[in-house]
Amino acid sequence: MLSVKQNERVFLYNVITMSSNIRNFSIVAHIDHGKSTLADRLLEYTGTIDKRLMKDQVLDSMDLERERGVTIKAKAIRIDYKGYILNLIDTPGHVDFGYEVSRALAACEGALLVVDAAQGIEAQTLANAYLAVNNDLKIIPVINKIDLPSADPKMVASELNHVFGIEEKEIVPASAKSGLGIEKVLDAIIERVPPPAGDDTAPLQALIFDSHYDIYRGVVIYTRIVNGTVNTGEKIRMMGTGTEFEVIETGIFKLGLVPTQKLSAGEVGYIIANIKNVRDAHVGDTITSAKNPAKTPLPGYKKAKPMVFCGLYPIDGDEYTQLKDALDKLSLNDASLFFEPETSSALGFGFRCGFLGLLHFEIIQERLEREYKISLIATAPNVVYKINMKGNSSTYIDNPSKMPDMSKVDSIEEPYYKVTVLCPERYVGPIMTLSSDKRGTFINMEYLDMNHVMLTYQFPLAEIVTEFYDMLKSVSQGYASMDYEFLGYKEADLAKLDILINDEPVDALSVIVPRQNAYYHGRKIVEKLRGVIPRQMFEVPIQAAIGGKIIARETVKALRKNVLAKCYGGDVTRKRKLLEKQKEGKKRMKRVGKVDIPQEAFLSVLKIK
Amino acid sequence: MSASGLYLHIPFCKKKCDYCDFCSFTGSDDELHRKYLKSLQKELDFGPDISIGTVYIGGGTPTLLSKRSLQKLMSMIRSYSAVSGTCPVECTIESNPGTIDYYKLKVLKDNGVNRLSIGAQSFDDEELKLLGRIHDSRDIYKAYEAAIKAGFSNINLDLIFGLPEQSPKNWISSLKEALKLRPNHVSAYSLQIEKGTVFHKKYSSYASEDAEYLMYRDTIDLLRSEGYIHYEISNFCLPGFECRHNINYWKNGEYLGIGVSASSHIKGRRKMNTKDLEKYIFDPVHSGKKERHSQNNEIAETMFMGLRLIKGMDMEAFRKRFKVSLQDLYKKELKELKEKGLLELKEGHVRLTEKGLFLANEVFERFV
Repeated sequence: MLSVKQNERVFLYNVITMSSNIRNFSIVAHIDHGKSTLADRLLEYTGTIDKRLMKDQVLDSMDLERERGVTIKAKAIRIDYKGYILNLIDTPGHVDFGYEVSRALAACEGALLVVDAAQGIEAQTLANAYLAVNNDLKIIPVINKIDLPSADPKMVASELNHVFGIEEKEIVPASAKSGLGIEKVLDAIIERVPPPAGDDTAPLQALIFDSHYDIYRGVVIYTRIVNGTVNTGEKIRMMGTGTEFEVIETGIFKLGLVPTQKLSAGEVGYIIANIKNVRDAHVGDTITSAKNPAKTPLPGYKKAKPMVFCGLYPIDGDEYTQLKDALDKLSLNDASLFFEPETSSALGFGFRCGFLGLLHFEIIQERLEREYKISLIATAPNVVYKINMKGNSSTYIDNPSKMPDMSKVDSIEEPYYKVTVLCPERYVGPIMTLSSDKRGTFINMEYLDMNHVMLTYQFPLAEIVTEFYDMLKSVSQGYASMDYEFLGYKEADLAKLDILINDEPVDALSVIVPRQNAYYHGRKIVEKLRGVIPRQMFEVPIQAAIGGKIIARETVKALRKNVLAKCYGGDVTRKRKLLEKQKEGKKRMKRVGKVDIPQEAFLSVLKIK
Repeated sequence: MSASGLYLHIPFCKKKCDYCDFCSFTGSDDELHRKYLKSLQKELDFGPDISIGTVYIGGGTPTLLSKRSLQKLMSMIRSYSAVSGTCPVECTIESNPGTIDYYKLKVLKDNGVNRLSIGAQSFDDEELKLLGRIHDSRDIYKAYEAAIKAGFSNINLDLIFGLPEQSPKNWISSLKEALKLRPNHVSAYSLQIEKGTVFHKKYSSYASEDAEYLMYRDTIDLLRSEGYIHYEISNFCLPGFECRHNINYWKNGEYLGIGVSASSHIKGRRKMNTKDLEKYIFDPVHSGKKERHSQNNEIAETMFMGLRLIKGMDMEAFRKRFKVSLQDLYKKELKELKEKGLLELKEGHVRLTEKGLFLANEVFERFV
C-alpha cells in the first residue's frame, strides 16, 4: 500500500518542477522578532500544514529549541502556492551557529528580513542582513508585530532606510501572530525573489546546507542543487573530503520526507546515500557526480571549528561508557561537536569537548543531563591558546592543564573577536565600563538613528565566552544585543593559575588568566570555593598558585557537629528520609582525593567579577 | 520484646512556642478537651491486644487539661492496660511550668503518673522570652518544688541550647542552674529550626556550628562530672533513671500511639494518625495512614535509632531479630566508619565513639 502511495507522490512532484517557478528563500531576524511564528503562519496560510495539526513553531522540533526560543539546526520545507514552489530554508537564530546560517543563506535567492515593530533593528538583524547581502540575496523587509500597542513602524522604517537604504515602499507590514499581511508576504516572495539560475545539464554541484542522522536510514543530507541533476542510484562524491557514496533516495521536504526520482538545478531537497556519519557530509561542502565531476566546488566551504572547550566528566565514574555513548549519539547529528577522551588526575576519565560557542556548550550539557540522565561535572570553559615555544616552534592547547613548562614558553597568544553591540544611546556608558573590565578594545561608535548606537569592540574570546552576554543584558536592562566574529590570535601576558585543594593540585580547576589580574583572580577563586565546598571531617586548605608559588589561601574548617538532637517514636520515618537526603546530596558531589566537591565548584571558578 | 509502649498525644497549648513544630493547637476549651478525650477512648477501644510496659503522655501541653480531665485520662489508660493484665512500670507526663501547681500534680501522682517531665528549656528569662515560652525561671522553681511536694521522685528537665546568638557561657550557666535542683534526668537538646515555625521565619541561622559544638561538649563534660550517665545523644540521668519508654523507641521496639498525629510501630509496621484535629475527632479509628514499610527500612531505622544509645547496638540482638549478622550486612560501612574513628565495636555492641557522637548524622546516613 505504502509503495503505491509513494509512487503517486513521485509522479505528482516530478510533473510540476520547473526552475522558473521555484523560489528559494529564508527568513532572518534577531532572536524573538517573530521568525518562527511567521514561518508557521506561511505554512498554515498556504495549507502546507493543517491548522489542526499545527503545533507552535513547527520548525523548532526539539523541546529544547522550543523552550529556549531558538532554532538550533536549520531545516527546510516546501510550500506549494499559486502554482509556485516556495522552498523555505530555516536558519539557526544564534551567533554560535553563524557559519550554518551563512550556508543556509547560500542555498537561497531571497530572504525575508523580519524586524520587530517595537524593538527595531538589533545586533543579529544587522549581522544576518549583512550575511544575506553578501550572499547576493534579494531582501524583502518585513516589519512584524505591527499590532502591538508599543509598535512604532515609522521609526523602524526610518532605521531600515538609514542602515540598509531600504525604501519605505519595499516594506511589508505584518503581524505573524494575527495573520495580518501574510498574503502580501507570499506575493512579495513570488514577485521579488528571482528564480534560481542554474544549468540542468552541467556537471552536478549541490550545496550541503544541513544534515541530520536517522537511525534507520543514516545521514539525510539537506541540499540545494546549484547545477546539474542528481538521480537515484547515481554515485556521488563529496568534494571537500573526497569520499563517495551511492544515492539511495532523493526527495523533497513536505512535513516529512517525500521521495522523487531526481533533483535538478534550482531545487531544494534531500539525498540519502547510506552515509553513516554526519562528519562525511559537512555543511558547506559540495556534492558532485563521481562519474562526471564538476571542476570546482562551490565557494565558501569551511570546516566547523570549535572555539570553546571544556572537560565533561561523569560524577559517577561508572557512567563513563554511558557518557561516551551519549556524546557519540549527539555527534551523529552535530558535526560541530568535538570530543576526545581525556584524563584528569582530579576527576578521572572524561572528555575534552569543543563547542561553537557558549550556547552550544550549554545545549549539549543540558541534553546530556536531561535526555541521557547523566550527572556531569563541567570544567570552566576555555578557549584555545597558541603557545609559542622558545626556538620558534608553536603549539595550540585547548586545556589549561596542558600548559607546557613556562620556562620553555616564549609567548602566549589568545583568540580575539570583533564584537558589535547595538543599544539605545543611554546605555553606552555602562557598556563601555563593562567592556573595559573585560579587556575590550574600543574600535568604533556609530549612530543608527537619533537614539540607537552601534559599538564595535575587540575582545579576547576568553572574556566573552563566560558571562559577558548576561552582564551586557543586565547593564542595559535587556536592551543591548550583540554579535561576534573571529578576528585572529594576538599575544597577551597570561598566567596559569593552579588551585590546590587539601594540598593537591586539582587540574580541572586550573585557569589561564591575564597576569595582571592573577592575584585578584586567585583570591576570589579560593574565597568562592571556600563558600561552595561543604565542611568535611577534616580541615581542608584551598590555595591558589602561580608557577608553584602560593598566592592565596582559605580554609574550610572541619565539620565539628552534625547530629539530630531529637528523635523519638513519632518521627522515625521523617528522620530516615532526612538522612537519605543528606546521603543523596553527597552522591551528587565528586570526590577528589579525600574531599567531596559539589558540581558548582567547577563552574564557580569562572564566575569571578 | 514483651511489653510495648503506649503514647498519648494531647495537642493543646496555651500558646505555641516560637520554635515548636509539633502538632498542637491553641485556643481550646474544656469542652473540646472532653470531646478529644472521648475520641482517645474510641481509638483505645479499637486498639490492638498488647501488653503495656510504659506510658508517655506528651503534647502539646498535657497539663493544660483540667484535673478532672486528667483523672479521666488516667482511668482510660488504666483500663486499657488492665485488659492485657499488665500494669505499666513507668508512666510519664510532659508539663509546662506555667500550667502546673501542687494540686494538679497531686492528682496526677495519685492516679498513677510516676515520672514528671518539666519543659524548663532555659533558666535565663531573656532566653525564655526569645523562645516564646509562657513562663519564666521562677515558675520552673515553683513547679519543681510543687512536684517534690506532690511526691514525684523521678523528674526530668528539658533544656534547649544553641539559640541564635547564645554564647556557650550563657548556656552553661543555665545548665548549672538546672543542676542545682538535682533532677534525676536531663534532656538537653540542641535547637533545630524547623520549617513552618516562627523561628524559621525570624532567624536565618542558629548559633554557629563551632559554638554549638562547644556547648554540646561542655554539656556532656559537666553532666558527667556531676554523676549523670550519658545514655543517649541528648539524654542524661542519675544511675537507674533512664526513661524506659524512650529506650523502647531507640531500640525500635513496639509502641502504640494514640491521638492526633501519633505514630505506632507494631509488628514491624508503622502507622501515623492524621494531623487534622477535626478529622481525628470525627473518626479517631480510621483517620490514620499505614506506611509501606520494607525490611530494609526496618533495619535502617533500627540501626540509626539504636546507635543513638551511647551503649550502642547489641549485635546479638540484631542477629536474632533480623536473622542476619550486622557485621556481614554492613561490612564496608563498619570498616570505613571505624577507620574514620566514628564507630567502635566493644562488648558485643557497635557504638558511636566520642568523636562519632558529634558527627552522628555522618554515621547514620551510612546505614540508610
